[in-house]
Amino acid sequence: MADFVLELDRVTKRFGDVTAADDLSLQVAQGEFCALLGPSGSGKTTLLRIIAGLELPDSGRVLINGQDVTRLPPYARKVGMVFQNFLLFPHKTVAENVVFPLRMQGAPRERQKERLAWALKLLRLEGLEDRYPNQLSGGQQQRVALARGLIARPALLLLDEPLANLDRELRKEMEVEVRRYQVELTTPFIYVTHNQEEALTMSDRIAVMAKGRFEQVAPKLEVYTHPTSPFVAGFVGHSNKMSGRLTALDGSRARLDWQGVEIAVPSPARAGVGDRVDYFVKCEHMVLRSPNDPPEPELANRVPGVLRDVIFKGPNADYLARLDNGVELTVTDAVTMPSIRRDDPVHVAWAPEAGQCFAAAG
Amino acid sequence: MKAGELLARLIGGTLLLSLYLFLYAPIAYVIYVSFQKDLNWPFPPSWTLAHYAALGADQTYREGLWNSILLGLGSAVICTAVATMGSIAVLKYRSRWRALMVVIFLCPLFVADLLVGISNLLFNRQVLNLPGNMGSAMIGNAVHCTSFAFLIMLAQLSRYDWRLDDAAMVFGARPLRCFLEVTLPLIWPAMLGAFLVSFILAFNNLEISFYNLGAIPTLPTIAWGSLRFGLGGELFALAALVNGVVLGAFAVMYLLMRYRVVSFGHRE
Repeated sequence: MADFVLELDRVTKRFGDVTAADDLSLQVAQGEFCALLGPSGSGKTTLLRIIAGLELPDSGRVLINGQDVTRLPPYARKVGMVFQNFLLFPHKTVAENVVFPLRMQGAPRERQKERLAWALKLLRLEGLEDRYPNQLSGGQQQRVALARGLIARPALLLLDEPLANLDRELRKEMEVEVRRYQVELTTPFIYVTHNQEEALTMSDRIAVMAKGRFEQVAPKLEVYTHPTSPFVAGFVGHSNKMSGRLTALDGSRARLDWQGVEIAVPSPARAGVGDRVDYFVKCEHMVLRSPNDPPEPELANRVPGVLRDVIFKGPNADYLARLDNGVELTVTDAVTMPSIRRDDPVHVAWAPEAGQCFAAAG
Repeated sequence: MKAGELLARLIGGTLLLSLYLFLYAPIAYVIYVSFQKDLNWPFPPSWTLAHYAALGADQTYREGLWNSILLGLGSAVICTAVATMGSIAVLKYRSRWRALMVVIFLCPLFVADLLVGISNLLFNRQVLNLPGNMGSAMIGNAVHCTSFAFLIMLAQLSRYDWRLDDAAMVFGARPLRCFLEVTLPLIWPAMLGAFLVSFILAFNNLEISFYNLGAIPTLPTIAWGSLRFGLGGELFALAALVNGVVLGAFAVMYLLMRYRVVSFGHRE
C-alpha cells in the first residue's frame, strides 16, 4: 500500500446536481509528475482540493503514504500547495511567506533559517527576502509560492493552474523550471491545468478529466499518440475530426463514408457496419502531396482538394486544404515543405492507423 | 458651450454647498455660540471661553464624561466582536440563507432607540432579573450599534480573499492560528472602523442609556436633564466639544486612509 505517495480510492463529490468527482481512483508514486488535464468545470480543481483537505468527499478515501487522511483537516496533512493567483499573504514579506509552513509546524528557529536559505537559493529569491508580494514581478511571486509550497518537505506538492496568470514567455520559462525542481527533489507533483502544452511539457503521466471522470490516465506520450476516448482524441493535440458511417468491416481495418469520401480507418470497438463513428487524426500526422506525386502504399488514405490557406507558425505551418466534398482539413508540416501555393490542387494523405476511430456517442 | 459648462458648474456647486449647509449649519451654529457671551442673540460676536470653564468646573459633567467613555468602550468591544463574527460567517460560508442572515443583522437599525431601551429594561428586569446598570446599558447599546458595525464590516470584508485562509490551513495553520496570522492582520482596519462608529454611537446615545442606567449619569443624560432648566452655556460648550472630538476622529481616520498608513486587504 505504502508504495504510493498518494492514493485516491473511488473518490466521489457532488455539488447539488453536479458530480464534480465521479468515482475517481488514482495512484501517484514517489518522483512522479502527474498532470490533471481538463477543460474548466471538469472537476480537476475539486479533486485537488479534496486531496488538500479543503473539500470533504461524499464517499471514497484519500491515502497519503498509506495513511488514510480522508477525514483529516488540511493543516494535519503536510502537503504543499501552489495556488492559482499565488495567494501569497500580502502583509508578510517574502521570507515570512516562505517560512510560514515551518513556523506553523513549530520547527526550531535554526531549522527555519536553514530551510529558508535552502528554499531561497533553490528558487533564486536571494536578496528579495524583505520585499512584500506587491513589490514582486509575476515570475517572482510564482517562485515565492513554489518556495512556500516546498520548504517543509511536503509528501507531495499540489499545483492549481500555477502558470495561468503569467504571460506566454514567462510561462515557457517556468514550465522548464518547475519540471527541474520536481526532478531535483523527487517530490511527487500533482499539477492541475487546462493547458495541454503545460501538461505535455512537464508531466510524466496525464490524467485527462471531463465531467468529473477520468477519460484516460496514462504516460503523456501514450495520451498523445493513443487516446482511448473521443474526448481525449479531440482535447489533446490538434486533430481533424471525421464523422460518418461504417460501410465495411474487414478485420483490423474498416471503411468509413465521410461525407461522400471513402476512407480507411482502424476498426473501432463496439461498432458495426452502418454505425456512426468519429475518426480523429492529429494534424501533424497528415501530409500534403501534389496530385502528380506517385501514390505511397503506407499512406492509404489520399483525398483530393485545394490548398485554401497557409498559416505560418514559426517552425511549422498549418495548411488548410478544402476537399472536394467541401470539408476542410488542417495539415501541420514544416514550412519549407511543399512548393505548393494557395489555390493549387493538392492531395491530403495519411496512414489510417495514425488516427483513432470511436463509436459515436449516443 | 463654454458658458453652458460654467452655468452647469455654478448650479452644481451651489447645490452641493446648500446640501452641506443643510447638514452642518445647526452644528456649526452651536459651536459658534459656545464661544459667545450672549447665548440668546450672539451677533455681533463677542468671544469668550467662559462656558468651557464652567463645563470643566462642573463635577457632574466630568463624571458623566467618564461614564460615557466607559459605556462607549464596552459597547464598541461587544459590537466589534459580534459584527466581525457575523460578517465573517455571512461572507466566508456562502450559505443560501445569507441574504436573510444579513437582513436579521440589520433589523435593529429600524427599531427606535426608545423601544430598544424600554425592551431591554423590561427584559432584563422581568426575565433575567438583572438590575439596570452599566453592563446592561452596554449590552442595550450594543444591540443597536451592532447593525452599524456589521454594515461597515460587510462593506470592507467583501474585498477580502477567503482563499488566503485556505492557503494558511494547507500550510499547517489551525483555525485560530489562521485567524490570528492571516485574517486579523488584514481585516483590522475594518474592525477599527466598526469600533469607532459603535463607540461614537453608544457614547452619544440617550434613550437606551437612560432606561438602562437609572441614576448613573452619562453626558447625554446630563445634557437632557439640564435642558429642563433652560439652555446653559456649558451645554453649548459640551455639544461643541463632543462634535469636535467626533469630527476630529473621522478626520484622523480619513487622513490615515488617504495616505495609506492604514490600508485594507491586498497591498496593491
